[in-house]
Amino acid sequence: MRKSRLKSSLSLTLAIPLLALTVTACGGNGGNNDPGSTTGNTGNKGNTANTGNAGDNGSDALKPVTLSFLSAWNGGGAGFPQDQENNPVAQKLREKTGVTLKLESITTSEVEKLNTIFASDTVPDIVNAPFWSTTGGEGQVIKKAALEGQLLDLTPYLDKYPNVKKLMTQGVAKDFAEFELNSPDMEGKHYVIPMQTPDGTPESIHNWNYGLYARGDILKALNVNAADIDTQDKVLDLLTKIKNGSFKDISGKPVIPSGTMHNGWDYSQFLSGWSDYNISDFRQEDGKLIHWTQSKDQEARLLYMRKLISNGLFDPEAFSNTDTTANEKLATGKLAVFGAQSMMGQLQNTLYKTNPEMQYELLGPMKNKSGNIVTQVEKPGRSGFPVLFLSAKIKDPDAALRLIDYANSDEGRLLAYWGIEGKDYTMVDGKPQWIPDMKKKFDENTDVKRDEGLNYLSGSFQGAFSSEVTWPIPDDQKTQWEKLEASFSKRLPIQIIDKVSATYLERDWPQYNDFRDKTASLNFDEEFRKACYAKSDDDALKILHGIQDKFKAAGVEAMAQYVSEKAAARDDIGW
Amino acid sequence: MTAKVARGKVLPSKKNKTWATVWNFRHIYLFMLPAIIWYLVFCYYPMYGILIAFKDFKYNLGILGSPWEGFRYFKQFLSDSSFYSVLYNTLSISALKLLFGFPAPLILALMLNGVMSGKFKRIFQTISYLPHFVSWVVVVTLMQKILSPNVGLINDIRDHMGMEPIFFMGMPSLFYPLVIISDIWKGVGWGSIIYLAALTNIDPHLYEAAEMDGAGRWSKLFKITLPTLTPTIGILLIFSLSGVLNAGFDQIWLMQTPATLSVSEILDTYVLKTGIQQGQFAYSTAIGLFKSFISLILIVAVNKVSKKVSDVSLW
Repeated sequence: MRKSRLKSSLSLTLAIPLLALTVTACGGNGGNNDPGSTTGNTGNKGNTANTGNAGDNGSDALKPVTLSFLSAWNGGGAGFPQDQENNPVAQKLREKTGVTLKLESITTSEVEKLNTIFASDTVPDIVNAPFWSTTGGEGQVIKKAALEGQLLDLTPYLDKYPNVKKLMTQGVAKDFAEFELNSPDMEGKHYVIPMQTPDGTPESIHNWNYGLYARGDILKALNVNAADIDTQDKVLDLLTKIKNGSFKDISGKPVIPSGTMHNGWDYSQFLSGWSDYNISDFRQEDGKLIHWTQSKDQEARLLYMRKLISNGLFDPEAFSNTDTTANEKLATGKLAVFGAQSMMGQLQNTLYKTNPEMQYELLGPMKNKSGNIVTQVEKPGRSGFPVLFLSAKIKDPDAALRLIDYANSDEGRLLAYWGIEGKDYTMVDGKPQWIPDMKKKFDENTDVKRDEGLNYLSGSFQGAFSSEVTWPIPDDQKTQWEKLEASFSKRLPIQIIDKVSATYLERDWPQYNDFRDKTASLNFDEEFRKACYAKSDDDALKILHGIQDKFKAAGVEAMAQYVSEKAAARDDIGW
Repeated sequence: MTAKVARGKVLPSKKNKTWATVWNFRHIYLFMLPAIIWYLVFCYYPMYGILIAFKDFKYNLGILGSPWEGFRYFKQFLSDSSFYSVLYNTLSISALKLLFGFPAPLILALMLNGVMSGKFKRIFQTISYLPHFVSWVVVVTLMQKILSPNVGLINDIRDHMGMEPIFFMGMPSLFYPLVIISDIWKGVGWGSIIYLAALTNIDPHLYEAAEMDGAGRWSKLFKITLPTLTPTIGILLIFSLSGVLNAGFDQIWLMQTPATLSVSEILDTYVLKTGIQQGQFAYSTAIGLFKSFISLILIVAVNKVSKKVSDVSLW
C-alpha cells in the first residue's frame, strides 16, 4: 500500500512537468512576447509578408491565430463586412498571415471607449483609434495608457517588420513626430502606428471635402447659384428663403432649413466666416497672441449661431441627433442644407437613388473674414491621425504585426483596395482595373463592396499610402459620384503650411501641468452649445464669458505670453 | 432543535449556539448562499474602488498601487464653480420628484382600492404596471419622437393649425415638468403595488363598523385607511429621502440636450462626464463618494427623526 502510494507520487511528479512541457511545446510561441525569439513559426514572417509570400511555403505553415480588433470610431463598424471571417478579403488575409480578425466597433464617444478599456484593463489585441489632439482628447488618453503599461512597446519588433517601421515616419508631420511620437517622456519607445498618413506627396493628402451642402432642387426652385453663397450673410439669407419657401422632404413633410450629422457634427461649417488657416491653438488678434478660447470672434460666432437657431433656420435637435436619426434626416432629404463632408457614401445608396433631383450641391466655398476660401489646412505630413496600437497583453504580437506589415505591402494594399485578383480586378499594364461586372455591382450598391471585405482593411490598416495617387481611376471608369466628389475637391483645395505648430511650445511652460489639471474638466464646446440655447443674448454671452474666465483663471493668458516669447526666438513657428 | 445540555457540562456560548442553529438549518441557509455571494462579488468587492478618490490613479499601478493624493479631488470639486449648479439641479429634480412622484402611487392605490369592479381593477392595474418594464431608452426615444420639432406628432398638429413648432425637449422651462411627468408615468403603477398589498391587510370589519357609525368615504379614508398605511408610507419616505441625491441617472442622461444643460446637469451625469468621458477617474470617484456620504448621513438622520416623530424606522 505504502509502496504503491510512493510509486503513484513519483509518477505524478514526473508526469506533471512532462505534460506541461508538451503543452508548452505545442503552444509554440503564441504567448511569447519576446520579439527576439525565433521559436515557433513566426520567426521570419515579417519579411515574408513583406514580399507577399507568407504562407506559400508549405514547410513554414502559419499557425492560425484569432485576434480581436476594435475600431474605436463612432460608427466605425459601417465598413465591416457582414461575414467577418469568411468574406473573400478575410479569407485571403488568413491564407497569407494566418490571422483571423474578430471585429468590434463602437457607436458612442471615442474617448469614452478608450478610457473604459484602459481603466478596466480590457484592451483588445489591436485597436484603431484617433490620435488627434496635442493637448487633450483621445491622443492624450492613448499616450497616458502607453506610459502606464497598457500598450505594447513596438520598438523591438520594428526591424522585423519593415513595412510597419516605414509607417512610423512616412507622412508624419515633423513637429508631431518630434513632440508627440518621439517626445522625451516616450523614452525612445514606439507605441502607436500612424494610419491614413500621406505618402509624402501633397497630392496624396486626403481631401475630406468639409463644407456646406444644399439640396439641388431647392436651390433651383429659388434660382440660387450654389457657388454664389459664400459668406455667412448669404447663408443666412438663403436659409431664410428656404424657410419661407415651404419645401418638403420625400415624405411631404416640411424640410429643416439646415442641420448637421450626429451630435452636431460639423456645425462649425456654419461658422466658417470666422475660420482661418490655423495649425495651432493660438491666434493673433490686435497684434497679440491669444489662445483660441479667448478670441473676440467667439462672441460673433455665438450670436450668429443663436440667430440661426432662434429664427428656426437650424435643426434644434442637431446637437442631440444620434447617428441613426441624423442619417434618417439625410436619407429623406429633410435637411435643405447640411454642414459636414459630402456624405456621398450614405446618399448614393439612399436619397440619390430615390430622388436624384435632390442631389446636394456644395455651397461657395465659403470665405472667411479675410476673403480667403475656407478649406482644409495641412502640414506636409499629418499632425494627428488614426493610429493602430496593440494591447500590452496581446498573446501573439508577431501575428498582429505580421498582418499590419502584410496589409501595407504592395500585395496587401492591392488586397485591401481592390480585393481578389481575377474576381474583383485584373492587372492591366501593372495597374489594377475593376472587372466590369464587379464594378457595376459595387457602383449600384456599396454594401456589395463592403461585404466583399473591401472597406475595413483600407479604412483601418493602411498608412503612408494613397490609392488615388498610386492607382488613379481613369475618368471613364469613375462613377458619377466619384466624379462629383472630385469636383468638390477641386473647389476646396488643400492649404499646406510647412511650419511647427505653436501649440507644442506651451509644453515647456513651467505651469503647463497645473494648467492642464485646472482645465481638464472644462468643456468649451459644451458651454458654447449651451449658450446657443440660452434665453437671451445677454445670458448666452454670460455663459461664454464664464467659460472664457475659467480658462483665464487657469492661466491661459500667461501661457499665450510664454508661447509668444518662445515663438519669437524661432522662425519656423506657425499659428 | 435546541442543543441538549448534559448535567455537568459547560453550557454552549451564545456564539456557538448561533453556529449550531445555522448548522441545524444549513439547508435553508444554503438558499441564501447565492445571494450572499452576489453581494460579496458585486457589492462589497468593488467597494475598494472608492480608494481611487484618494489616489492619483495609474493604469499600471492599479488602485492599490497608485500614489495617495489625500483629499485633493474633494477640495477640487468643492471649489469647482460647477459644484453648486450641479448640486442645485440634483436637489431640485429630487425634491420635485418627491413632491409629485412620491404621493402618486399612494393616490393610485387608493383610487384602485375604491373601485368596486374587480375586472376593471385588474386590467387597470396591469396596464399601469407595464411602463415599469419599458426601459428609459425606449421611453425617452418615444418622447423625442412625439415631441420632436421636426417629425413629432404634437408639432405636426401645431403645423396643421398654422402654429410654429416648439422644441419641447430643448426648453429649460419644460425640462422639469417632462422629467416629473415621465417619471410618474413610468413608476406610478409599480409603486402602487406595495400600497395595494398594505391595503389588503386592513380588516374589513373596521370599515363595516365605521359605516355603521355613519362614516362617509372621506372619513373612512382619513380615519382608517391612511392611519393604517402610515408605517408603509413612512418606510418608503425614508427610502426616498435617502436617495434624494439620486435624481435618476438614466432618465436625465437620455433627456439631456445642450439646450437644457443648465438645468439638467446632475451629480450622476457630471460623474460620468468627468470620469469616463474625460478620464478623470479619481475626481469623478470623489464626487460619487461625496454623494454616497451625504446619502448615508441623510438616511441615518431621516430614520432618527422618523423614529422620534412617528415611531416608524428602518432600524
